[in-house]
Amino acid sequence: MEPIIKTVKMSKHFGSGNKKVELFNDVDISIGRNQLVGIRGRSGSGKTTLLNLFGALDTPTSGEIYVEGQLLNSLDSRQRSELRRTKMGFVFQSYGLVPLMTVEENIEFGLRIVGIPREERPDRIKRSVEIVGLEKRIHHRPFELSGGEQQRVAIARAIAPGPSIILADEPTAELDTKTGFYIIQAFHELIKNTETTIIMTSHDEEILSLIEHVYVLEDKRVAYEKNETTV
Amino acid sequence: MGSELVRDRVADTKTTTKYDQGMLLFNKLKSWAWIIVRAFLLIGLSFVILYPIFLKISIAFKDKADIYDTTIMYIPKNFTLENFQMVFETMGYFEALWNSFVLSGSTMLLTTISCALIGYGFARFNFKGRNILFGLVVFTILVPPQTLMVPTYLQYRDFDLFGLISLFNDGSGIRLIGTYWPFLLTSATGVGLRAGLFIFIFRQFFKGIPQELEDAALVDGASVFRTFFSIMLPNAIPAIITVMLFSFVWQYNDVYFTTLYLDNPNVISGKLLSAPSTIGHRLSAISGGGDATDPLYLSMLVNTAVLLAILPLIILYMFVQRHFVESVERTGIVG
Ligand SMILES: Nc1ncnc2c1ncn2[C@@H]1O[C@H](COP(=O)(O)OP(=O)(O)O)[C@@H](O)[C@H]1O
Ligand SMILES: [Mg+2]
Repeated sequence: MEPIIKTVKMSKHFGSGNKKVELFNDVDISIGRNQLVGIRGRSGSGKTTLLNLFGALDTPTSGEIYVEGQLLNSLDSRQRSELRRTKMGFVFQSYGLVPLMTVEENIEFGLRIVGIPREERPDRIKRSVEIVGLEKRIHHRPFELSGGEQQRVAIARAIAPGPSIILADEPTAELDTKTGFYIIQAFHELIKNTETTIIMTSHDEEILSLIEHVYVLEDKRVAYEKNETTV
Repeated sequence: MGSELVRDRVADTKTTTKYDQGMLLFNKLKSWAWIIVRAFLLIGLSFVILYPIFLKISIAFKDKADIYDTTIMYIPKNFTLENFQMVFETMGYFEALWNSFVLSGSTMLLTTISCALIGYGFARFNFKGRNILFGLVVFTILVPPQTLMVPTYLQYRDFDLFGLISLFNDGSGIRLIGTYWPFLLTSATGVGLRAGLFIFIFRQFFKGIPQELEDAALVDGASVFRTFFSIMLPNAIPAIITVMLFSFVWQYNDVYFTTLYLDNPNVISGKLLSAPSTIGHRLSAISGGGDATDPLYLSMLVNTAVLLAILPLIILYMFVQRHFVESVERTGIVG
């Protein structure tokens, strides 16, 4: 099967001269579909940059990135945002929930932006809320929820439009380990029930040990590592 | 007041009729009833506001052993400062507090200056498109910044002004993510945290200041800026205090922008957000790994962290409270 994301000799550098930072040099990876993928690296190793590259929010210095077989380099900025809107869901460290809207309204709002017709929205909201296990909270507002619950709402909002890829930057960074486990559980639930691929970064060993496919950022390269997980 | 009048008359005439006595009693009862109702209302309101804080204080001083002691409601049996010590260490409290004050203080000053100038412009100058522009300002109050997350992030990840910066920087903007610059730039240009509301407050306030005050100064040959600083600003102290306090507190409490602009927000709001994580990890490190951390103990420590986070604001509020209450009354803002 065609990989969801593939890179060919991808390099990313910042700056020039003696301030030059070489984050990636000639990275060749391909990520299979419908998996939960972890990206590990210490702070400053380029995890966020890698997610930005995959999400067409940044361009490589050289080399190619394919998303579902489509070469990103050739797209102009309108096509890029179209690709993000239709294929990708983002979960940032900042939850970005609108404080005045309830959980349900926040998710509905995301659907409206993506252009999902009104009739389809209630169903999608219901399903995404079920996957993250927040059925009892849909009429609450963000400030009535704990950090872990808010993060789950952000995830529900990202998955509701049915993207083929979810890019999550340190989604468990602010949570205690147990709450972090729930997030990973929700992710597993998601790949079991849908065709989505989830790519998430983390620097937490405990969290990463629950993820089967992990890519490690080291020495300007990205190495694959398979975990024996019991989940 | 009514009862005093009656009493005076009573004292004057010395001939107390039955009618007067009845009035006296009725008025007395009325004023007592009012005092009681008022006391109830105030106590009730204070209770609603203060109870959570008292509860937090009570929990913060409890020992780990007190959690499971069912005989303890509010007063801990084993007073301890261990919780505080733990939180101070894991949060890096004082450094984060200092950073928070630097960040909130500087955005407060910049926001107040920029919004006062903009509000003055809207209040006093007639120019083409003024109403449309002001409509746009109100529009920024209505649009939640959360809806603009990705563009905001990209704006400061590759910051550029009309492509000028990239001319000198190898074709790319500069990275402002992870610095305080996004906060400073937005507040200096009047588009910071809730700046639309502050512009609105200043505009309304300046509109309420009589035009004659300025006219006199202008006739005397003062420049526009001179008039603004020496006539308008001194008269706008209530609005200034209101805006300063709100902008400080909102910035201090904000997590959306701090987590969006800063990679590792070393400020109180950010540290509080990640408190469950950092404290949890610390606990499991102490207990030698595994998931042996007691969730009740963890929540007790997080509770202490919350208390420590709001404490500076409470102390600050005690000092400025009097000015603030007056100012809010005079600007007509409630809440
Ligand atoms: N636009 C940029 N310009 C210059 N340097 C950058 C830029 N983006 C990222 N960097 C640098 O690249 C490194 C990796 O950043 P990042 O991807 O955020 O790492 P991580 O998310 O793993 O902590 C950092 O040292 C950062 O300073
Ligand atoms: Mg990062």
